[in-house]
Amino acid sequence: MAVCIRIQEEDFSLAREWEALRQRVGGTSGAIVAFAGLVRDHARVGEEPSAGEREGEPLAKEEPSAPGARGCPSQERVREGEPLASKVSGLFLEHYPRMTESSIQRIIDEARGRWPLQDVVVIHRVGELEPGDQIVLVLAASTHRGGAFAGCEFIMDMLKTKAVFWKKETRVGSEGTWIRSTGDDFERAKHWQDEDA
Amino acid sequence: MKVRAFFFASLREAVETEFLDVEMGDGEGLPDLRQRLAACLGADQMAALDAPEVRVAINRRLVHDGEESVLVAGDEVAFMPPVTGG
Repeated sequence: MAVCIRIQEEDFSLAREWEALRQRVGGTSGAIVAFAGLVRDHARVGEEPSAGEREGEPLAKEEPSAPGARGCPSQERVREGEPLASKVSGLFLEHYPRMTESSIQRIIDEARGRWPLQDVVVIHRVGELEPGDQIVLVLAASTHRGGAFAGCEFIMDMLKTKAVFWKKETRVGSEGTWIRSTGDDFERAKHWQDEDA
Repeated sequence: MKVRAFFFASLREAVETEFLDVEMGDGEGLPDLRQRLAACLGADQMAALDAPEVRVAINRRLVHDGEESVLVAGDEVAFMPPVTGG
């Protein structure tokens, strides 16, 4: 089992990370699932995204249209009374070195206890980001697609509520707002616990 | 002895610094640290640190509710608002 956790300011290449993981797992894994999260411009909230711009669809090496594949959580946070014209100028991400990595390692360890994951990659960016930037990458390799899909989704759901990061949304003409996990984020994290019950 | 209190995200903005070095006595713990911080911070700043959703970590390990711990020289105490990644 290989685990790669990186916290970095620079961008990442999904293709490069995917290929490196594919080389590492060799013939041991039958599926790799990837999730890439993007910074979304909230000013566009309310517009129905086209299939091509919907955020965070997992990419599956094996049978991408398999049952159980579904959209992953959006970065969007809608606040009442907020004018749509108030454009997001960016996102600022902060972390606590070493504690952040430990929090991600615990999430991966829990995922490994649930599914036979041969390899996991989590890359999370910090610092200043702009709408459209990649913010997070999760790759999960497993013997079968079920474990890879579920492992990737589980890790992403837990990153939303348990990983030690803080996100500040900056807007044109305002100081910005620190973002909190949404009810949906907590619901998604909770449904994994409900499955255990 | 000194411990270093770190403040993250909204708390760093409230306290207006990334960290404070605090002189502590032997055998003192988190409640004592809070008292010493209260002596040098404003009421609004302390209210931000004392908010129920704020978590505290000592040397990068979360302190659970009701857990008592004695601080020693060089300890890092982090005051952390609710986290969100992804």
